[in-house]
Amino acid sequence: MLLFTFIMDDEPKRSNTKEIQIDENLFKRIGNNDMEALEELYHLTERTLYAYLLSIVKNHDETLDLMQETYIKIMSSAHLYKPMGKPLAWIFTVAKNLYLSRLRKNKRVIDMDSVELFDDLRFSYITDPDDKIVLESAFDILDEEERQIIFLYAVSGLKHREIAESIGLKLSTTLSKYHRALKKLRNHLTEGGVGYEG
Amino acid sequence: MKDKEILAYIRSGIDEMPINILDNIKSTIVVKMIEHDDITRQDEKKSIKPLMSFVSVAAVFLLVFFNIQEFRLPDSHIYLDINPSIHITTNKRDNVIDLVAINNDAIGIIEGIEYKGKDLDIVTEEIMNSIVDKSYFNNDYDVMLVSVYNKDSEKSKNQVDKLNRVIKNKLDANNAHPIILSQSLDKSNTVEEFAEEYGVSIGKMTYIRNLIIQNPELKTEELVYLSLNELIKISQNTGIGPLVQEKTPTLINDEDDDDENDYKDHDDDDWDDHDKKNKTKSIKKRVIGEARAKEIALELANGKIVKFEFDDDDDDPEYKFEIIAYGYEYEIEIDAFSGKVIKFKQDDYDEDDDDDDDHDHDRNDKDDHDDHDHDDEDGHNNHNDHNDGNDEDDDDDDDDDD
Repeated sequence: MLLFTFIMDDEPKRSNTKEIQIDENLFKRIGNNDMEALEELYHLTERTLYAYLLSIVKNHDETLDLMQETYIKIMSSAHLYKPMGKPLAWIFTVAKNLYLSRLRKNKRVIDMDSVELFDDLRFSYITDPDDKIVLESAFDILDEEERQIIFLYAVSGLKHREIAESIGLKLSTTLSKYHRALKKLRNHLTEGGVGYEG
Repeated sequence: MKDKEILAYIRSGIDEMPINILDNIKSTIVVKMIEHDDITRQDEKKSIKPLMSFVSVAAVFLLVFFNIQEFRLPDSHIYLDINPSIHITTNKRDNVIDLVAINNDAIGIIEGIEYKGKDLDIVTEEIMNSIVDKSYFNNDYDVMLVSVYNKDSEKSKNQVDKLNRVIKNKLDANNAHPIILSQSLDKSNTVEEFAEEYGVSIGKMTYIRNLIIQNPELKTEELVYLSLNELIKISQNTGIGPLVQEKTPTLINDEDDDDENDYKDHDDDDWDDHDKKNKTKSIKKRVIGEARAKEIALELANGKIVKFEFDDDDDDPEYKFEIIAYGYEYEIEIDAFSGKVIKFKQDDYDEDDDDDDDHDHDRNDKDDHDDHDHDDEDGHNNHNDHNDGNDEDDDDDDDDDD
């Protein structure tokens, strides 16, 4: 019961989330070395980009590295950015390409699924045990796209349509993956081996 | 467990992760890229390839076939802006390889012109014929902007030179005397980006950029929608002296010797000469009338007249206008005898008009008896101004690159 009330407190979080609206002019300003514009973009996108990269990279430190690289890459190419109405999609593309090129450079594709998933190091920053269990489950049982969709939906305040656009999937695909992923998590967390409900 | 709860846990879990990289990012010295690479490319879904080896192979390839490619590779870009904007691309041998209408007005002009492989001079002549036929140059204050980009700045200057000659011959033959502004461009990616975004030529965009460098309050978004003529009217108000040519840093008037006098004549009669006045001549004349004065004022700033006044000074009667246009407030004063614009001032809208300017202006009037003696000096100064302007320009680009 205690857990339940705690959850109720947490529930409004998503509705409180401010939807990120990236003004495409920000890129133009960043291209002109406007540091305020960079900060604005950073604060708008920080958690969303983190969620996106974490869902792919599955490792906190590497995610931070890549985030940093992504913003720096954006700074060096913002003046080239052509407004196309999908600013977030571009940021994600840059981030993912950086990740892919890093994999290629390292010439070793680490199959993260085979790595110990309850690696304490990865989530040692999370103090709340429930948060930790749910996140770990997401890494454990969801595939990459499902995880992306769930993370972005939980963190960014974006609508399904916008998420679909940003990661380059169809809306219908995104929605069905979203529902399937939630169902998987639900089953895993209630019936599955984690059994923290008791 | 409900869906919302699951999402809330994920969110708070991710929110707990410490992210502290902003300072690192801000302190990183960033080298600006010249063009998108495979990481930043905005095209639809493109995965990255191991490009390095490919690029070097391609480079060798290019070297070997350089001589053949010379015929096909773009070498110079020429932009002709009147209101129609035209983009001509030539190869190393000055043969035209592409001819593009940048805006709708230009489509009719280049329609039917055979350009492939022809000499630039010939194509330019044909374009000029077409422009004159479509009566773009009916007034002496019509303006044409000729811009040339070539990596080799020496070559672009030569080409500006050559084009000016061709254009001038053609215009003389047709008895048209528009003002011709020439500039050789330094190609910067930003200008290119903007030009593409707003659908104007790079030549016009460069001109706009130069205006903005001198007058940072101007906004690109507002300027791009103005015609070249309107832009030049604004430039009259932004800089050092009354002549358009003085105020645009990268302008290179290669034909100063031939043309300047022509320009001057037009300028005196028309709109360029906003703080000079020829008293002796004007006293004998009659006033031009309110309607004509309004016409002149609205040509300069086509907007709403918010204030109109006839200042019935015995010696210097003037029509005074305040016009709101393009988001600015313009103060325009017109000599009631000659119809000359003696004051053209652009202010941010909302700002109160100040009387100080009127005093300044009166002072100018008194000092301006010897216009013509000064013209030569102005001419020389022009050259200095160009050089300064170019330096400024270069600095600016360096900043961009940093």
